[in-house]
Amino acid sequence: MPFDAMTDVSDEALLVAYGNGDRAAAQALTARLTPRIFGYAARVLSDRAEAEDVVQEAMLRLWKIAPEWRQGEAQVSTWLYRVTVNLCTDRLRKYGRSVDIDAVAEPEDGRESVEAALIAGDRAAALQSALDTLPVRQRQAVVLRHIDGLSNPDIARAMDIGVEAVESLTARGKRALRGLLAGRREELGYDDD
Amino acid sequence: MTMTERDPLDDFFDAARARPPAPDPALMARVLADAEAQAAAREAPVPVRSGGFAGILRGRGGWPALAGFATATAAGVWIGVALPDVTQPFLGGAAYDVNDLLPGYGTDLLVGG
Repeated sequence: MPFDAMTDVSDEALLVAYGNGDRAAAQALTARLTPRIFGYAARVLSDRAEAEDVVQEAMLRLWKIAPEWRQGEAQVSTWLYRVTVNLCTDRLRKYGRSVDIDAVAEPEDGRESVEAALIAGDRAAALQSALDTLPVRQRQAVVLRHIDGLSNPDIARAMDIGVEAVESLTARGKRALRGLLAGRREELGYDDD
Repeated sequence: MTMTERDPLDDFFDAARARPPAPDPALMARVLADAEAQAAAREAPVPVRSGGFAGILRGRGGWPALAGFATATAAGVWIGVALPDVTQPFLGGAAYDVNDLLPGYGTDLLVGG
């Protein structure tokens, strides 16, 4: 099947096709899934090189499991997010500054970079600077929910926690972000737009 | 917060979604290369071991021949054990003696000389 004709084919059908030797299915899956998990990993790790390593490893695990993929048991994207979340958590535990992944947020750490980004009018950069100050689990949950747009049950599966825990993590994460961003918005006149 | 009130964080989330970190083409190429390598590894023929039991088996027709041999053996044992009435007439109705197998040597064997 030509690559262009695969836009309507499900991730699962593509994965099974790849497991049966269809190279074009791998191209379609790469184009579809790699940008999604790269965006997630880059935001959570705040490091492109680290994110690239994580994404290549996660996709390699997808290629390896393809022949044994059991249809109907899980969504491919959720499975892949789960692998990526775990790889990011491992990286941050090993190399990151957040040794305790459930530690209480320290909003003061990011105020200077957040303010600089706001002065420059760069909201995406300001948000990233604020995200970097969150405990890892809160950061992961907020990115999955509010940027990648996953549902709470899918986030629960990806993070291997309950839905209530997801709601708690996103609520605490957003509260911390508001503390960093909302107050600065008012000071810098962002309420008018 | 009412339903119509907009969360101030939404502006920041919107800005972040509008500018997603994009993977380099080099990363996409590496991912695809991994996919190709995995597919090629799965399609590669399994190397045939030589020597030992595998070599002996291959010289006698491989596993299908061994399966036929095992089936014939099992059938023979079953006939002998389960159907003595069928097999007994072919044995002359009596058990074999040493003399039946080695005529003239039976006594020598029995006395050890």
